[in-house]
Amino acid sequence: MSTIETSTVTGLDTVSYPRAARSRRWLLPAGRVAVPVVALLLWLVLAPLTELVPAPIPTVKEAWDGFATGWIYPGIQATASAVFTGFALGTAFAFPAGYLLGRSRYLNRVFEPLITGTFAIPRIIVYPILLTLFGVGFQAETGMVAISAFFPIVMSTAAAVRQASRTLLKLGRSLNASRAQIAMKIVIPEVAPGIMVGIRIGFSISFIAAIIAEFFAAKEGLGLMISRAHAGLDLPRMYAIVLLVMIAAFGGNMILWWAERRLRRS
Amino acid sequence: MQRTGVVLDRVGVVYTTNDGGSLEAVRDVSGVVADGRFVSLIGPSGCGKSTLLDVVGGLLRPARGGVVINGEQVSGPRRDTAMVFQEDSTLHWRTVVGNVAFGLEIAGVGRREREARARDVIKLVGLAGFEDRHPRELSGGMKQRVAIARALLLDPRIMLMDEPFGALDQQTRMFIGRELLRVWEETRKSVLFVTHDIQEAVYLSDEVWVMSARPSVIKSKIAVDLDRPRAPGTMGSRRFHELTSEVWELLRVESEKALDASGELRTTP
Repeated sequence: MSTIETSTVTGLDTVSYPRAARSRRWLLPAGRVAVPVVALLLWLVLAPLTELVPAPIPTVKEAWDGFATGWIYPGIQATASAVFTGFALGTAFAFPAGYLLGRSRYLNRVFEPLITGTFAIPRIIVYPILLTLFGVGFQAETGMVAISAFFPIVMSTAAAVRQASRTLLKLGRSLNASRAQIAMKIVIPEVAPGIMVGIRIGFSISFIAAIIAEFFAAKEGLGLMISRAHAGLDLPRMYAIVLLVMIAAFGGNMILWWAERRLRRS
Repeated sequence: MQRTGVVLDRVGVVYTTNDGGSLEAVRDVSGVVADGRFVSLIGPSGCGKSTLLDVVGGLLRPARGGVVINGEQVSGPRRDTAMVFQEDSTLHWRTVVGNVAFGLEIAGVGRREREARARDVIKLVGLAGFEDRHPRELSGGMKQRVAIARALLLDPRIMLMDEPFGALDQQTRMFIGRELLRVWEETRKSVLFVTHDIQEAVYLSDEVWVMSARPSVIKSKIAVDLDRPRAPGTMGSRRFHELTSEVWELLRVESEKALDASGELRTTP
């Protein structure tokens, strides 16, 4: 009979392991809450050091007054209608165009260099052209928003549609599905999350385009109000509107992001 | 002209390559899949088995010859052919019922009717209880059963199966092969089944058509005279081994040719 002599002395007991990640599940929500809280605290602490930054409390009070006395409503109404109309208009053109570019090799090869090249042009330079065509007001601003939203939505829709599975397309053909059926019942549901990315980016850019257009030339709108407050050195009002725009853009984007994540899970 | 079954009449397929040349994939393939027969196509990799299936399915126009189904020449996808693919072809956003009913939905059958019929076929392929699950909750083998159920529900004259179990592991593959035979015994649909698994081809089929390396011709059609219904013991029988050896002998030469052409067998640089 033979035996195997082994030594199990390794000194491992001196090594300590980090605690399992499971026990720190609170870390993620805590971190997410901490970022805005720290930003707010910094603002509170640093604002008294200079006259050029209003304190948080007068800023929030001014924003509150905006709703209580109603001075903010015409601005919200003008900006929101330009953002939503322009975004809808841009999407109405961009989505079908992106779908066709994604499905057709020929169209893609014709238009891809054009669209990629045009993407580099700062969109705001077409605003003076729109102003001469439509005059200052809702139409020019909406046109600006629509053009800005168009490009990111075309490009991401085309990219998403191009990812559609060859096998599912072949299945559609073998079932003699019409072009509309292939679009509605196969490709669009399959790549919906990718399409939503374009819609979300298009929405962000719509908001940006509206505010920038209003800085430049507008009859009404939040961007115009910010530049007026800036010119009149009404800092609490300027900060109040900036804060509201930030919250609105953040909220809108979060809703779209949530929708995108839901689509991705299904 | 033969009035029943699926007739391949001197089918030839030529591809145009990217540099403008032409590549002959399939040459002069003829054969008959009689109604209710199970025929396997086997051949070396890249020999145009799937290409031939696409021609029968009406997805690819042959350069020469043609296919006649039930007396009519194939000129495009037809209601009486149904395809099953190697890759997962389930629609991930639909339930099993929605997936199985998909073909009928495209064909314009109303929701109530197609879903009721889908539930029957789901039971037939052994997925009862999974009707309302989504593909992400199913295994690879179950997803292929969904694809088979979807094809069966179209009530085709012939099922065109392109290596349907090629992506599955060996054990699942043998099990689902037996399941396919059970369903086939009940429905007796004609099947044209592409595979490169010799045992699978012999075990499932009435005939095995052995194809050559490119340009592919049918080298031999082997009648499989094993009793039906096939049992697990079939694979251990002497006749099964004779048939698989026969197929392997035919294939070995062709596979060497195909591998040699691809440079796979060259040992010296």
